[in-house]
Amino acid sequence: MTDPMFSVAPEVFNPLWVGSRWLFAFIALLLLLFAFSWLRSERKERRDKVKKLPGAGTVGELIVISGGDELAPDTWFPVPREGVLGALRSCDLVVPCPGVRPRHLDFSWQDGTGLLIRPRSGCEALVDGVPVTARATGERPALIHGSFLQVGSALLRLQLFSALDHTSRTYAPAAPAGPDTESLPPAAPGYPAVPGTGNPFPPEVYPAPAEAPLSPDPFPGPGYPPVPPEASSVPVDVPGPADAPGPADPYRVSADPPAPPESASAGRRVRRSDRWKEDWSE
Amino acid sequence: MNSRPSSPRFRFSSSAILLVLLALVLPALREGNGRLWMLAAVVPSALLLAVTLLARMFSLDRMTLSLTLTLCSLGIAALAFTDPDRAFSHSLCSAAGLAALLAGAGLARSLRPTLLVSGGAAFLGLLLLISGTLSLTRFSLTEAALVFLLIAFASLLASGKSFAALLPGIAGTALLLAQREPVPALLWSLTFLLLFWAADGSLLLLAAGTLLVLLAGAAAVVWGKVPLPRIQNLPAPYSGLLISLNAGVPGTGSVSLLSLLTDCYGPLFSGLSAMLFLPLVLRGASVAGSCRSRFHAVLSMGCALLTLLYVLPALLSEFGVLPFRTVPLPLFSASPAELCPWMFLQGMVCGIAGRNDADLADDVHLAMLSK
Repeated sequence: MTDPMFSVAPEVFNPLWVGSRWLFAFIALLLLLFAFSWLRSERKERRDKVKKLPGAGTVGELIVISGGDELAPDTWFPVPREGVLGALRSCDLVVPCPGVRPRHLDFSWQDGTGLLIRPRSGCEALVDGVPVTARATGERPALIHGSFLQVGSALLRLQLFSALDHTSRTYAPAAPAGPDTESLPPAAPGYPAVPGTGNPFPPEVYPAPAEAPLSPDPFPGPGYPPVPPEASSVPVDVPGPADAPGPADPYRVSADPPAPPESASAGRRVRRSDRWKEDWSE
Repeated sequence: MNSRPSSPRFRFSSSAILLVLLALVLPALREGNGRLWMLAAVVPSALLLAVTLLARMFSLDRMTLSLTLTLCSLGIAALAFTDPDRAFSHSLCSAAGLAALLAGAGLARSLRPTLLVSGGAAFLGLLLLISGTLSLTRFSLTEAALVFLLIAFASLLASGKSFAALLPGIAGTALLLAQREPVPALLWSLTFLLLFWAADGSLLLLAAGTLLVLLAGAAAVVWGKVPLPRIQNLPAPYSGLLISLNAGVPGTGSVSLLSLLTDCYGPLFSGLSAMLFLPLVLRGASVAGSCRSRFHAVLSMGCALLTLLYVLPALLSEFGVLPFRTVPLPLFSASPAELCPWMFLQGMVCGIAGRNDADLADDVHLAMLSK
């Protein structure tokens, strides 16, 4: 047995031990209080950071082109990187329109590709006119900047933040009867056409910068309701070149667009969540 | 002169280091054992280095790391009073647990919900459970298996394969029941069913999963695989009935460190120490709420939920509320096979929190670019 190192006699140790029980309990209580205080301060700090970044965690917006009575045009949804779109309020994107199931489809952002959607079993969606179902095989179409998404009776259009790492393509809608390549301007050199639609890809263009009010008509074309100018709460638009090079204005649609909504109005852009009523029936 | 108030992190870390130091110095003063003095020097220093240097180097969540290592250190302090040699070996075991924590953090940051991850994790988890069922190892591999099953479950759920996600859950429950571990089976089934309901929401699949779990439980009872727990201090008719049913709970062989802590420092201190699990679980849930991807959210919430569901019955049985032994308390076990998986789980939470901070920093950068 080795010689003991520094130790104290039992008559010294015992009162020390008894006192330590209370001291340790006190320190443990302090530890608990400090832990909850730390938790609270971390949450507050994160909340304050996120408040200053309204677009944090989102990749863009879905703007309602037509949505019936439930969804007025000009309504917009912030689109997170991943989530569920459906009619239930617990979904990440709530689209309470006829034909939309409680949990209609899953979507996820893929860098370099766009917003991938996966309809759930028994659900269907149209991406730029192409039907997508749960049983679809092969490569699923991805939503890119300007793409249309139709779920049920709702027609939505995606506006992406340009600072994201996604394809520089911008979707320009084709004629509703089908792609008519003859009436469309030729593809810009070096850019492939959209498969199946014959639409040319425009050269790189960027949405309007965040500092300036939103362009009154970011997706100009006959029949589309203009998006009213508003101080943007989305911070991540990168100013792009003033004049987009290329043979044609990338946003101008030469073919007939889908039917515009009847009540197209240039009212204030309203976030979807502002319209929620206190309905807990779900 | 205005003095800056100390941050909550500094206050917590310094209090934890002080508590661990005093808790190790006291038995060293009594015994005079060189190993105890070494522990009194090394353990608080390691705690300080881990929460400062390691957290910064590996971008770990400091709060989860501090709480986890504090609880581990209290386990070492509990053994130091009664068995210095065992305390020393437990400290080595805790060092291995720290390595497991770092591994969990790295894995959580790099994992993606792919078929390879789902299949590999499910295979490993079920393999560990099968080896436990066939008694191929002397120590319990339940917790390690549950970690892999959780990863497989989260990966499948995030990939949109809801029905496939139920399979590792149900298979794990069935194997745990076959292994005569009804309490871990119950806790695991609660964990994955609750996660499934929160993440997917499909009531039909949830009902199917619940039904299959109940069927597995009923089959286990019918085939005599589920023993009733050995209940102590029951009135005579009931204890007699249970004895006649050949009651017994498979022992894990691990020492209850919380009961040692209670013996050394009283129930008040051990109760307050056990309550440190609450901020740990809340932090895990908070990390899950800040995740950008469903995979990491399910994984983080799964870690927090599994910790909570294990802690509750363990504490109830430690403090005598439940008259039978249930599961060992996470992070308060002297067995490396039980400690390392829990450290790995907390490491995953640390890694996911670090990833969340990186995502937020990206958003701040993007916002600066737009100005």
